[in-house]
Amino acid sequence: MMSSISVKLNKVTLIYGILVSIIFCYILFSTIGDRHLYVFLIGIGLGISLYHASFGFTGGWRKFIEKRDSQFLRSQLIMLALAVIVFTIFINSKSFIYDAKMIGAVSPIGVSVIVGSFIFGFAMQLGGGCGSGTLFTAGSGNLKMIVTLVFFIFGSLIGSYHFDFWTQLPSLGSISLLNSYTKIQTILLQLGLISILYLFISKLDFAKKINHFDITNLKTHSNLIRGEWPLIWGVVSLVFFNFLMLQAAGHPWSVTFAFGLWGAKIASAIGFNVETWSYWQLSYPSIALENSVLADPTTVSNIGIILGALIASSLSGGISRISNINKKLILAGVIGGFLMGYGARLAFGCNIGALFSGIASGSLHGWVWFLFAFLGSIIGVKFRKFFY
Amino acid sequence: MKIIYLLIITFFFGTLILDHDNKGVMYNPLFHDEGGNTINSIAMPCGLGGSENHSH
Repeated sequence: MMSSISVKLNKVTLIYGILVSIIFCYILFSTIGDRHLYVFLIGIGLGISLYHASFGFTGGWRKFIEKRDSQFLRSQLIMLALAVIVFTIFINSKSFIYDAKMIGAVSPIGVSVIVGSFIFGFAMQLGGGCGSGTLFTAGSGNLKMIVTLVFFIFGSLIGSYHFDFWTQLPSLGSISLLNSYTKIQTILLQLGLISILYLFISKLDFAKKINHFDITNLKTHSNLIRGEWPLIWGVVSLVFFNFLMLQAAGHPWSVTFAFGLWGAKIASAIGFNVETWSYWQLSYPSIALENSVLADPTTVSNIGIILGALIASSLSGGISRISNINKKLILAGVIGGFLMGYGARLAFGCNIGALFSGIASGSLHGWVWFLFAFLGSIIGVKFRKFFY
Repeated sequence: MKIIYLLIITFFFGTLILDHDNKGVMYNPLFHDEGGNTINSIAMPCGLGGSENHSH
C-alpha cells in the first residue's frame, strides 16, 4: 500500500508529465509541423509500453546468459518476427500519412559495426540499460540512469569525432535482403532464421529445467493504464508504435543519433568547432547541428519516451520508489554510458536503430549487430559483477 | 531525490526549448514534396536510409 506522501508525489509527477507533454505538443505542432507532433505522441506510446512491460534488452540477455532464462530473449525474437512481416510489406511503399516513400534502416556491414556492437553489448551490461532502456528508466525517475544517459551522450560525441577513422576500415557496404530477394522470400528467410534461434534458446532453457514462464500469461494485476503488462503486450505495442513511426517519420524508430546531436550542441555551445568534424559535415548531421534540436525526429521521439515513461511510472506508483545509488553504480553508469554511446556511433545505431529496426528492414547489419552485441554482453555480464 | 530528478529534467526540457527558440527551424527533415516518388535521403538521420548519408 502506498503512503499518502507517495500518492501525492505520484500525482505531482503525473501532472508534471502531462503538462510538459502538452507544451511540447503545442510547440511541435505550431512551429514545425503535424508529423513532428505524431512522432512525439508515438514516443510517448513507446515510453509507456517500455515501462509498463519492463521491456529491456540488457536484463533479458543477462538472464539468459547467467541462468538460461529465455523469456525476454524469446519475446524479443517474437517482436522481430512480427516487425519483419509488417516492415517488409510496407517499406519502400508510400506512407499513409504523407505522400512519399518510407525507407528502412539499412547500414553498412564492416569492422566498425563489429567493433561498435561488441562494445555496445559489453557496455550495456555495465550501464544497466540499452538505448531504449536507458531512456525509459531515466524517464521513470532513476537517477543512476541519468548518469548513464549523460555519459551516453558524451560517448556518442566522441564516437562522432572518431567516426571517419572507423568507417574507413574494411566494409562490405550496405546489404539489404530486399535488394536481392522478393518480399515473400525476405520474410521467409528472416522468419526461418528467427525460428531456428527461438528453438535453439528454448532448448537451452528447457535443458536447465527452469520454470519456463509463458510470455503470453496475463499477470493477476495486469492493467492497461497502471501496468504491469505481460511481455506479449509490450511486444505487440512496440511493433505497432515502430510501424507508426515508419508511417509518420518515413523511417523506422531510432534512438542514438539524437544523443550525439545533443552532445555536439553542448560542445558547440562551450566553444568546440564541432562543425569542422567530418561526421558533422555529412548531409543530415550538418543540417541537424544548425537546426533547432526539436526539428530532429529522433530527439522528438526520445523526449516522448522520457515523458511517456514518467507518466507510466507515476500511474503505477513506481516514481516514488527510492532508487539505490552509490559510487560503484555511478562508476558503472559512467563507463557503461560512455562506451554505449561510442559503440552506437560506430555500429550505426543501438539495439533499436540497428537491431530492431535494422532486422525489420531486411538489413544484414542488424544481424551482425545482434551477434556481436550478444558476444559483448557475455563478457559484460562477467565485468558487471565488480559494480553491482 | 525525486525533487532533484524533476529539477534535472526541467533543466533539460528548458534547454531544448531555448535552443529551439534561438536556432529556429531552417529545414524540416520530415518535409517531403507532395506527390514526390523519390526518397529524400537528406531527410534521414545518419544510420537510417543506407549509405546515402555516409562517405563510403
